[in-house]
Amino acid sequence: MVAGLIPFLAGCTDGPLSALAPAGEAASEIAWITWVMMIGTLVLMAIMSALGLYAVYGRTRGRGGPSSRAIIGWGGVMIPALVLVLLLVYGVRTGDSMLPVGEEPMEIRVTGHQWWWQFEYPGADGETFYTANELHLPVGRPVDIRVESADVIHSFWVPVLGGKVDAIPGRSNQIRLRPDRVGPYRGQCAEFCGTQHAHMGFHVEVHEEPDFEDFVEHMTGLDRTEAGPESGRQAFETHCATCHSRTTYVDGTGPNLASLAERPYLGAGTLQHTEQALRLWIGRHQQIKPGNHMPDHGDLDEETVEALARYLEAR
Amino acid sequence: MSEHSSGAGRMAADTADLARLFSTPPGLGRLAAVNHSVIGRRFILVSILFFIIGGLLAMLLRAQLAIPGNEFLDADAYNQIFTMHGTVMMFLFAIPLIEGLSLYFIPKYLGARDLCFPRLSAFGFWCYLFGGLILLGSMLAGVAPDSGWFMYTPLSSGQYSPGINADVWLIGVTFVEVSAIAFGIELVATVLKVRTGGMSLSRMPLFGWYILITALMMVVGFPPLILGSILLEIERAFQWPFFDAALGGDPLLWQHLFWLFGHPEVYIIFLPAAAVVSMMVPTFARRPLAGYNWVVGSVVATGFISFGLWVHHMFTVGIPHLALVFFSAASMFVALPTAIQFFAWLTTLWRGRPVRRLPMLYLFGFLFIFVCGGLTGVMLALVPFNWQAHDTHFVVAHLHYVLIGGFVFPLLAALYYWLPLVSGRRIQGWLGSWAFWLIFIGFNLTFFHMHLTGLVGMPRRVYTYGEGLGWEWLNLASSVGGFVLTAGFAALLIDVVVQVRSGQRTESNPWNAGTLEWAMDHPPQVYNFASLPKVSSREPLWDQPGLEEELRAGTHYLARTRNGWQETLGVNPISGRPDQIILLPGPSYLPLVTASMLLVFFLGFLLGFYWISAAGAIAALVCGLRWAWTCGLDRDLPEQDAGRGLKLPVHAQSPDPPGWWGTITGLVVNGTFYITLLFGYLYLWAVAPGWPPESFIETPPLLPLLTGLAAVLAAGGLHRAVIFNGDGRTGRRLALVASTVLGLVTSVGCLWQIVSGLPAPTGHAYAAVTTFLLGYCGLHGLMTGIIAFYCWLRIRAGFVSALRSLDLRVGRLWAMYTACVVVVSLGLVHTLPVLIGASG
Amino acid sequence: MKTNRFNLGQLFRMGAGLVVWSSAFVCLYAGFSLGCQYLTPSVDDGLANPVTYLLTGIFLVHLLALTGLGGLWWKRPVPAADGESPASRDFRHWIEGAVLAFSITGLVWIGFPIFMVAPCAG
Repeated sequence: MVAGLIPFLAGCTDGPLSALAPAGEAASEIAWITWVMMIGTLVLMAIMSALGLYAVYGRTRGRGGPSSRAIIGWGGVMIPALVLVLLLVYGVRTGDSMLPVGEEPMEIRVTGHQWWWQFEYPGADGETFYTANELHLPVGRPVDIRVESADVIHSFWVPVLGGKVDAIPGRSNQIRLRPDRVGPYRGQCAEFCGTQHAHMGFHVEVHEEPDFEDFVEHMTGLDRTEAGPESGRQAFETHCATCHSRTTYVDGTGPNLASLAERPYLGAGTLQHTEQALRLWIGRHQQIKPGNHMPDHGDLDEETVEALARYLEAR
Repeated sequence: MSEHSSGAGRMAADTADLARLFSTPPGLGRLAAVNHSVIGRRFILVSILFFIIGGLLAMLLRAQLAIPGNEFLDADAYNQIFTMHGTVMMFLFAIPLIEGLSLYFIPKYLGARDLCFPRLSAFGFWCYLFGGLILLGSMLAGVAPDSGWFMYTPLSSGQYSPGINADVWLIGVTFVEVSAIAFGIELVATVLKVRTGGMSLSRMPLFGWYILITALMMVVGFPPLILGSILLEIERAFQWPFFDAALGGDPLLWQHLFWLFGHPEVYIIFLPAAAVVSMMVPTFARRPLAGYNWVVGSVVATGFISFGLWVHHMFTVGIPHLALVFFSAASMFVALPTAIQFFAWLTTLWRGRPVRRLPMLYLFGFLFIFVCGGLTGVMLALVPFNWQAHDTHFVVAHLHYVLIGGFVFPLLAALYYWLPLVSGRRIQGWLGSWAFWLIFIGFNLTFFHMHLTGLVGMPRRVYTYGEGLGWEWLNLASSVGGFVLTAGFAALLIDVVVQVRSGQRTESNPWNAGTLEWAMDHPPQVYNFASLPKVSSREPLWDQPGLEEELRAGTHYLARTRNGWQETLGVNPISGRPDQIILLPGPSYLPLVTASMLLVFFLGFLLGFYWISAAGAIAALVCGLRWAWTCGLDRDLPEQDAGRGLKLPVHAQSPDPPGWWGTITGLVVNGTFYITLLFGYLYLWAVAPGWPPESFIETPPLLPLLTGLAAVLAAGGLHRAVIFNGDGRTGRRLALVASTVLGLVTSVGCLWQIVSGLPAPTGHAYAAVTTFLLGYCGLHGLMTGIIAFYCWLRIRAGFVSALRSLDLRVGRLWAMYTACVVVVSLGLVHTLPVLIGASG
Repeated sequence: MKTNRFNLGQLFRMGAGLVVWSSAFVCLYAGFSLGCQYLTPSVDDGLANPVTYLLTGIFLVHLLALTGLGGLWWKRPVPAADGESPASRDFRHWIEGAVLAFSITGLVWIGFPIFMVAPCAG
């Protein structure tokens, strides 16, 4: 019966954030042990419930059998101890194999902000470049993610690739990911970080190696300050440039917007990026994601919003 | 002896006297109630009200999450509600319910007439009520805490939570914790000292063992959170950067302090529930519990090991793997004592002749649900799995399986089990089992597949979620289940009301249980037992036939009343041989007045009126001293007849009255607080970023030396006073005067070091934590002076003699503790900068 | 006014094994944290590093202490309290022994990863 449940359950376990639909080395390992432990849990629950029912309803109840001490000693100590020690040793070995030690792969720096993510990559020319709310990774090779925070505690988590690690002010944590399947996935802040914790997701794109190199090439030194209509540029200077940057080599207190045109989501995973959504977001982001730290732009007239949108969409 | 077995008319007069002596005055006099049954009932009722509030909050949460993109609640409301749901359930429901249950039942199980410090538990109740009202009031005013019940800083810091919300949490919860500390001290002293004759540790009902260990865990478990809350509140109010990474603090220190409390808390909640299971199972199996010794051992073991698990809430904060492994191992190890208890219960049922009554149904629910919660707990203890499941709905499901399965279900069983005793009416009808099935099915429908919700990626504490993530039907099913669960609780509530109002009157001991609480009238008299039983077994009602009648007839201990005293027995904590008669205090307004002064203190702080706050603290201290003044006797008394041919001293003349045990326990609380503070001090030195600070403490070397010497000599003075008093020599007053002065000198010395030697505490965590440490020492020096002076007054007023020396011995314990604390602190404060500071 | 008269020592003895276990736990965690902070071993050294030696030392000292308590338990059963029955004394002896056995198991249980994992990594 339990075995019959697996395919049924497996059908429900897909999804861009599912730890049970792994696309990376660590996540696969953990998904495997998750299934083992879940089935074990169901079996043990069944056994314990059966024992409870038997103790009350069983026919041969109380007649002879092992001594009370033997039952408590074996059931309460020896058998659980054996199972737990095996599990513990397995856990220690597995955990140890996932640590970011040994080789020194490419490192991407992630900084958690209330309520968005900044990613900093080593560029093609030795310079670094920034992007926001989108993580691009090559398939088949390890990458170390260095996780830091600009304000409160956040937690970096891409369930399909591996476990999570917290972004803590004053500290710098590391996690090693090794994607083994190309595709779009999702990441999410897992530590409660205030009003808009729910809307602190990011897009994850795992590329074939050449595509990844193209991405790095494209992003390195990208400057879109002059792209798009002049009216849009001026509006951007007036309303946005204090916090946002249109070049990938300058970060800012707000998300970097140089590559916004290529991003599939807006507002840290809040909206799917469409022409209409972008205009909605610019004018009404405080209604869509209330409490976010961008000043309210409800007073912008339609024309300005349109100009800004065109400027941001320019490639 | 012969006097005691005299006519029934005499006995009737004595029980009438007992009823009068132990009763609570009517009208406003109810505010002065101290009787354990009254206070216990109040705790239970108020905690159930908070359970209903917490449950309604949960309904709001489930309504919001039922569909993606719901706009029923906005983010701010949701965050306040989930924070309050956790806070209410943990601090205002679970812990107080345990307290109420123990306050009500412990004396009944141990064959006593009351707890040893009845006024202390009344004080605890007022603290709980006031703290709870502060939290509730903030919710009504729309400024409820919204940083989560775990209050992680810097989210809860002044910078990111500028409103009053976080202060409400820190102050309200700390106020409520005062009652937990009071409870811990009360119950440790009571279980060890206030039992009936013949009840050795080996004959104590398991309920007593479980509550003893729970109380000890509260005594050690709550100080870290209290310390953390004080530090965070000081940071918020005065900008001392204990947790600010930019100024040498560390946000992780908060997490350590919080979970140092937070994990033992889970076992503090589970153990009393296991206790009631251990009381019910033998009754329904109709045989004594199999493996009594095993269970005692595993409860003791749980008490210790549960303090070695806290980092498993912090597996993702970036601590080296080996440290995680220690805690992972301990988290799995703690499963063994629990497994032992389960198999002891199963064996008892298997070996017995079980009767299937309504409470058994709820015990089945407990078995099924708690086993699942325990097993998912083992899963979470596995480090790599935890990296995925941490902070997802998997954990939400797990913790509800543990807390509802491991706490609510046993207590629902206990509710039906003890209702006949409390209401005097028998349990009947079918609604109780209907309620069970609604609750059981509703619970599993809410939480079973929520494990999966977490594994497919839904994080905790999100107020909404988008479509297309695969979470829609999982959440909808949980919300539906939640409402079924609520319907179950509503049915249960109706059933209880019906049972209490119109159930059939019961004969005595309807379940045919073996423990002492069933030897009382149903409902019990305010004085519990007309005479206190001499027991010779763990199940006296099974092994001592006719005991109930004997107790009513007054043939056991303390059947007579005299001098208007409320009496109960004090025993040797191990053997259970009676060694004193404890005279209990009557109704008093002191608990309410003292708690009200604390309310002034806390409210003043909350609203930023620090002078009013200080005045409240001083007033509370004065009330405390006034309260202490009412204890003890002003003359030596001969040994008193205790019945059955026994003559015993009254407690004030005993070498170890309950007050002595209470003092020791209180010092354990204080010591835990101090050790946690030292942990914080050293932790910041070793681990926090931004060290070393620009400058260290600089004082003339003589100053700390003299301060330390003064603290040691103050303790010496109190020690001499005890010796002189015991030998009947003169000089005890002079020694006390010297201690008073030396205590004040210690205090001034500590303050002087802060003022003259330290940079401003707002500049760096070093200065902040050193100031706090020296301030702690200074406060203790001041208290030593006050206590020594108090002892001097007590001698003058005639409350102290060679036989009645408790005041002096309590003072000596305090002064010795202070001396240790001052010497260790000053040593660390002045040597660490030289040892580490120079090299670092 | 001897402490013995108040039975504090005898009560303490029932849980003595777990007190040693707790001490081991605290010392291992503290030794590990401070060791990694101030001795900074290289991950490449594997298990041959000063922190592992330090933790091994702490482990062995506590194992020795528990063994010592075991010897005491075997040779000198607890003294009787005032008016205590033999059954009650047996009970305390049983608990003391069970707690000791449990503590030794517990020490090995939390201690063995020292010999499996290089400290300070991760």
